[in-house]
Amino acid sequence: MTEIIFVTAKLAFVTTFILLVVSPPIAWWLSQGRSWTRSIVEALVALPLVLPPTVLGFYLLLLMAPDALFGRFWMTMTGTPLSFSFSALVVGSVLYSLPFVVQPLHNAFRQIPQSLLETAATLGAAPFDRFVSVVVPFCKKSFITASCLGFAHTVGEFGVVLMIGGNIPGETQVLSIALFDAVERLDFASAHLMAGGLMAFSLLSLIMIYRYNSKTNVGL
Amino acid sequence: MGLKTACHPRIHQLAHFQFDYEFAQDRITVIFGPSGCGKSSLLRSMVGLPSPLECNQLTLGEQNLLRLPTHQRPIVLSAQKPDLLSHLSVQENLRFGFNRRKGNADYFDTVCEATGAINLIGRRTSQLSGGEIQRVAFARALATPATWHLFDEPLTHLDRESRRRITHWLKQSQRSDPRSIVYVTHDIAEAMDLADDVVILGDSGIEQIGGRHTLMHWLGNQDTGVNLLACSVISDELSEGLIALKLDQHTLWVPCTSSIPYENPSYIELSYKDVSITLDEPARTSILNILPCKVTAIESKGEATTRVQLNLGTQTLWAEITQRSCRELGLQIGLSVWAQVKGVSIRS
Repeated sequence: MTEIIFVTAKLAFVTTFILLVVSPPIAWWLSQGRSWTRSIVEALVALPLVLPPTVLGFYLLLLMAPDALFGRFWMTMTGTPLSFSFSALVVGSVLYSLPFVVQPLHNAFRQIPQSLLETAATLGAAPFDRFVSVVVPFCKKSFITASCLGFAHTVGEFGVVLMIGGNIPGETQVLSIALFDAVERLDFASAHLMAGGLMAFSLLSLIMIYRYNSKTNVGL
Repeated sequence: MGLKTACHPRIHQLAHFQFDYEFAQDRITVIFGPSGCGKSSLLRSMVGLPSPLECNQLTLGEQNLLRLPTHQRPIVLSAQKPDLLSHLSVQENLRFGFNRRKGNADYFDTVCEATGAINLIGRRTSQLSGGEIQRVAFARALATPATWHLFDEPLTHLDRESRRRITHWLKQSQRSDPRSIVYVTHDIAEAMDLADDVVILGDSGIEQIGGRHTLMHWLGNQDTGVNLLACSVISDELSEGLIALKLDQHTLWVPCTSSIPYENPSYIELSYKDVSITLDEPARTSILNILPCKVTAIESKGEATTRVQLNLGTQTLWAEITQRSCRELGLQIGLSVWAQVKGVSIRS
């Protein structure tokens, strides 16, 4: 059981970290205007919100297969196959949780008054400096919300993990899958423990997020 | 090295606007003009921010500044609606520009003190009033090291006394440590207090270029309803709270409401409506200032009122009176009369 929790937590932490690196540039680019390319990228990012996770999992599975382009590339770069590995779970989770991090940031970036950035520029702040010294502090709450949502959503994912993970104990077995297994085994005691734990965790994280956000309405 | 600036309009709204001028180094150039004529757009285009005007020349000596992005231009702009960075303290706001361009720490302290921003340092930006925000934004821009400083109506929310204290300090500090400043305002007193050079803008761009005298002359031809007169201080010593100013050969007694020393020449504003006319020298009156003068023009203004132009010597004074008074006094050009001015109606 501890092993399952450890893998789940590790997956969520790694995914959230990667999302916090990847999402701000995407969200920033999206917030800087309106164009067809932006709308298309915005739709692609939002796709996991509406798509059955199994669809995403199915395509990822094909993509990660050792004879597929991405799978072969991974094999030559790392020397280990990608499919049914922890890394595969991370790739899947990042894609699957991307909208949960990009959207709050996108909304927050759109609300930054242009004049603040102009003021910073006339006072000598370069673009990256403006992002760090004005945008990030201004959207601090949204960054926290976005990472909490990304984390919680990764813990709660099932379909993608089921398709690409392979349910290998200590490697790719996470809580949601283990719960499914336990129910199939009719091991209701473990199922209760895991379901109840996930329920409590998710509820608690959402309460924390909403409590935090009720103080200001930036983002989300 | 002057800052050569040329601008042309990007959009139809300012279609006839043309600007071509070289701002002089180490001087305060006041840009004066009605609202909406493009003053703010001009400054924004100079620092490279989106604007209805497009700069097509901006050179400092040999250096073409147009190629530089906003943050690399040696020009700081303090915008008309100043934005303090609300996630930072007042102190961090003040240091925002200063920290990014290495500059003189003594000057930073001097600016903070002179603008009164130093008294706000412990406060949060959300606790500041409009005038306090302007003080901080003004200090922040001036303390940011740059070759040129552009100010867009920076002190409009301050009371007159505070504003005069800051402009007086700025003018004084120009003598020992001159800065190159472009200062947009539509406040006459502020313009007269600060200007070394004056650029008067209209809808089609530059209307007139000159100094304070040009501005005074130009204002005299505008229908402002306010007399703007140049005076000199006879003595700094107050007599019963009044200061004596010399206006041509006449002495004006004006209540001294300000602790800021008067400069020579100094300027007073006097509404046309606060000047009245008598034919005989008045006696036993509360009115302090009685000036002998000659009627040089009479213009009717509306149904019931008339404006009478009076010659004081070298300067002219307008009085706005009713047509009935004008008729009953039998005013005509060339007549010698007495102009009466209440001391308290003079803005000095």
